[in-house]
Amino acid sequence: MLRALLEPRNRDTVTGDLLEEYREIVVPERGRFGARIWYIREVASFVTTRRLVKVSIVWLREDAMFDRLARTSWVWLVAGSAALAGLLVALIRSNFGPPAGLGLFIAISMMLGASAMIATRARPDARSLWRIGLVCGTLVTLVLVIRLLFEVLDPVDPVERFLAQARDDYSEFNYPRRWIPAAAVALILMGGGLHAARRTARVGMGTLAALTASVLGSLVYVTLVALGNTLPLGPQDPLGNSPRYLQFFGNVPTMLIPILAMFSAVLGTIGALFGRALSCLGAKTAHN
Amino acid sequence: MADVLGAFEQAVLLSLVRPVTALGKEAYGRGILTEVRHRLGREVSAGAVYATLDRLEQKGLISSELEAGTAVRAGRPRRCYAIAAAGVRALNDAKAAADRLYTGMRWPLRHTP
Repeated sequence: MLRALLEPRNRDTVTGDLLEEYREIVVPERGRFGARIWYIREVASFVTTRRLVKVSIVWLREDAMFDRLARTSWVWLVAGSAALAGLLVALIRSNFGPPAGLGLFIAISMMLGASAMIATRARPDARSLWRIGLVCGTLVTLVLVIRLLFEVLDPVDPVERFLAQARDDYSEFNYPRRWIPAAAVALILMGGGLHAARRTARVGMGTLAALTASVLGSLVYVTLVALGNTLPLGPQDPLGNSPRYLQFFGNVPTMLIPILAMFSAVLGTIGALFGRALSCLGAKTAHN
Repeated sequence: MADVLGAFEQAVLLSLVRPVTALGKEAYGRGILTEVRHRLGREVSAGAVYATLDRLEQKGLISSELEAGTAVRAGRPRRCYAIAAAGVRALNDAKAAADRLYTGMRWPLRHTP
């Protein structure tokens, strides 16, 4: 952070000055913990609005690593925003009423974009994150669409399901069409996290890859449902608002996006831990 | 007289006037920061001092040169600053301007309603 805030000519000299004082004066006087606090305060003293604006402009204009990374991430953010705008238009057109959780998942998408800019360190990072996210996100969408098709082609009476869930001997495992897609999505997200962490040897990248996959996958799925709802694909309800099968799904399942994102963060991290372990194991074997 | 120096710039420049200050060859960023804090009698951020040093160098009031880094600095070079002739002139001008400003005033000033 400090290096990014400084002019190139001052990067080594100023960080060297700080390091010298940290080691020779501050650590002996304040101890390691106190010295860290001191260091954070010193770095914070370089953060000014003018410097932040300047750094942002340099990142966007210079033909440097951060510039390329910023451009890649901006493309990503623009694509996500376009998908969200499409979803919003579809929601309004299909007269679905207030879009539940829309603000929340917009925030999550933006957070994801911002996280990617911070967590990725170089252009190849952003590229591999995008690639893994795209592949796993497509798989997630496919699973969700297959599940939807099952529900459309062979719908289950919601009252019957409600009564079944109220019984003592109820088990999700008696309903494969419910747990198999959920397990498949979980495996895809864990696999994405594992693969990203194995490639980069960083757990954070695995978590981010799973998050990317979940947001992309669920965003595409929700957009498809919203668009599908505007088409006269199924029988209309008595008010003529929307096809019945979508009503059965609680209209457009916008809450799926934040919920899946939350699960993906956990599942991706679990997968990433395995991926990191495999990466270390691979490096050790190669070393021997 | 060119640009009038601000109080902070004067404090930074004064810290480089040798042999008045004890900095001597220690006239690098951190040493100057300590000296400026001492002169102004308040906490001063490192970022502000480094920014001022850059600005003064751009104005040609100070010059700098790099010295080889040591192990404690992880080999990173040290930038040592020295006041230029233009810097000394600027300080003299600033002092003269302040003196002119207070000419004829009885010290300390008192508020008379």
